[in-house]
Amino acid sequence: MSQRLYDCPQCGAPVKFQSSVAVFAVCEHCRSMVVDRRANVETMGVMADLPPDLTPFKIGTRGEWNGNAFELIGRVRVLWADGSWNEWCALFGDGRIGWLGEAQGQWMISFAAPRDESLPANPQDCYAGLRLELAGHQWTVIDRKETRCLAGEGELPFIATPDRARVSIDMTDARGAFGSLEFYDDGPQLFVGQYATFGELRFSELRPVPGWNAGLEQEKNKTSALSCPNCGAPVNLRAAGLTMSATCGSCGSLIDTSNPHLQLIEEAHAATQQIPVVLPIGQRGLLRGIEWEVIGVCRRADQWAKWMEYLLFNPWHGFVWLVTYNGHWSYVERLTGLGNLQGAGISYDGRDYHLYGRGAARVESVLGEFYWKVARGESALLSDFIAPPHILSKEFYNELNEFTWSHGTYLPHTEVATAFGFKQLPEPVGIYLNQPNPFAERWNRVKAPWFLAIAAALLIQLVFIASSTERKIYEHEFVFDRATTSQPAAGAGNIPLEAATPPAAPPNVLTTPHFTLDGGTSRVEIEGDADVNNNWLGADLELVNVETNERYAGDLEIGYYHGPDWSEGGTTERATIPAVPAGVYFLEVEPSADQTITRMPFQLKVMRGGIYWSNFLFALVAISLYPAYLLFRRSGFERMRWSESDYSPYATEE
Amino acid sequence: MMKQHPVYLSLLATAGLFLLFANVRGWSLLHSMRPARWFGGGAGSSFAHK
Repeated sequence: MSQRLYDCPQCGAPVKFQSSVAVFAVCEHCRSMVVDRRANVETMGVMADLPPDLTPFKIGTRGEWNGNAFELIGRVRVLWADGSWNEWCALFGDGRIGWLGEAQGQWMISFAAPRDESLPANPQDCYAGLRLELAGHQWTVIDRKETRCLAGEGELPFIATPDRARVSIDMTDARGAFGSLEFYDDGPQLFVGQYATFGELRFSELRPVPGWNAGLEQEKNKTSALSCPNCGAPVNLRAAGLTMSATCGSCGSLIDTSNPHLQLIEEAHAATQQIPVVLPIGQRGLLRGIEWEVIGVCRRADQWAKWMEYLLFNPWHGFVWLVTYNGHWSYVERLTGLGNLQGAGISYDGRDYHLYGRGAARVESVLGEFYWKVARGESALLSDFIAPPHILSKEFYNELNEFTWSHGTYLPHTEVATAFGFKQLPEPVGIYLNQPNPFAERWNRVKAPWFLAIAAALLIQLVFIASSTERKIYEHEFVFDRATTSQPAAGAGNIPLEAATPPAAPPNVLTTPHFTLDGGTSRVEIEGDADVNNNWLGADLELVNVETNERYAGDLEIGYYHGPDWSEGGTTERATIPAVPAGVYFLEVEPSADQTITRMPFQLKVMRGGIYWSNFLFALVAISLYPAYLLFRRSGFERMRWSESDYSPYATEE
Repeated sequence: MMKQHPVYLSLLATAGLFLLFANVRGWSLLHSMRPARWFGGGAGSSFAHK
């Protein structure tokens, strides 16, 4: 059965059945429900009017999913106790029928799975958190709803009379798949698909959205203005058809907006008027490249704190939240694909999240409109997992038997101010649970250069160690004599000396013959060796340049002390004289010794070359001070962050 | 990346140049800072208490 065209039995207008499987269509002219019985067509009464909504789709909207083009050919508005959503019937190019779910600003594409005997027979057996293995997926049940058809348009593969009832079980799997188990009178049917973003579906032929598309400003209020059932004042819905509750701007009453017959949820509440709103309802701002409108404000509290949640709406991007506490802001999107995860740590999108807090949070007051039937006092068990600047929040609503996940990222308050046209917003106070650690960010920026610098310093040091070996220039034996300090013993030197004789020195100063220090400027080390034993021998040393008379001083201390089970020092020590230029030198030695020594021979060796490790250590300390400071402050910041948590990794066990 | 840390980058460069200079010249920052040089201490002083 291919495309069919009939005359509406009611009004005679053409009624088109594009899809081969379509059996039901709503006449565009008189809204009669037309059923194709193969042999004939008949009507089943008039379809209820669709409530006005801000959906960007219409019959004829085209899109693409996984490379397959589709066209929207029909729609059912599905109603449940706490709201309603659109299910668009999509005819794909290959003849398949798929479904585009449009609920709470999210989009799901799904297809009917083959009928299977393994499907649960009783919807009451399916509760939130239940794990089911169906059609090759490991599903987690998100929620269970009793639904009915509110209205429809276009053509459909089933007879969608109003009040057609079913039970709908929504499920996700860990890979982001979407599943829906629908229980009709004739048994269960599984639909399997994916959540999708608006951009992924590559829509065209969209419906212009009043108030958002240029030139349609006037229509916005006209199509969505309703009257408050409490005070009669007009209630202008900013996301009509997508939001399920709203507060009256006049009296503050909370109103059920899930269908056009507004019902009072709660009369005016004094708390509503007292919300300290920073972003007023209706304020629009450009955040992360998307224009958002503030449509709702909700103040929530747990036993420790109160915070504000602003609901933002865009017809093509759905809903997001701005959550603010003590001047801190987070940009929060609802998540799909996370099951009923438990425990103190979870992994999501390549990040490890750690449980920060868990407790009951209640709604204290509300303003504006919301995509669910919000109620003051509504309570949820809230679990926050953090991987700053990211946060994952799980909310479990016991009364609804439903849990939701959301993902937030920290927003600088200046970014919020810029987006919504404020000169400034209040400065953040304290450290927020997902606030980025500024010291961690700085550490992350400097650690690579730091490691590279250490490697470079080590390389420099190793190259110089290999190329600058130490060699002996001069060696001589002296004698310390307390009565008469003696000159070097004749013929003791083993390296040829310069011919010139050193100038005369004071009587207690020993001098060597001239010797040559070659090469460039380098260090000189003088090694002293004396047979000290529980006493010491020392010498003030001066290298004297014969040509310039420049003097380079060094100190030598040789001491060796020991007892039955200890010892200190040794019989060989070194004096070092850095940066001595090349030239002809002699050495002046002014010895001194412990009072117990009256006479003692000692040997001196003059060494040239080598490098100092102390320079490398100084360089290492210099380049490591700032990274060490950052690590110290990073740790302090994290300790402060976790000081408010019952799950702190820094907590000490008592 | 390091545009936000020009001072630290300069410090790294300075430390590298310092190490090159000190190793080429056989110079020692530690020995140029010895308090014994500043205050005129002499040989044997550290063992005088023995």
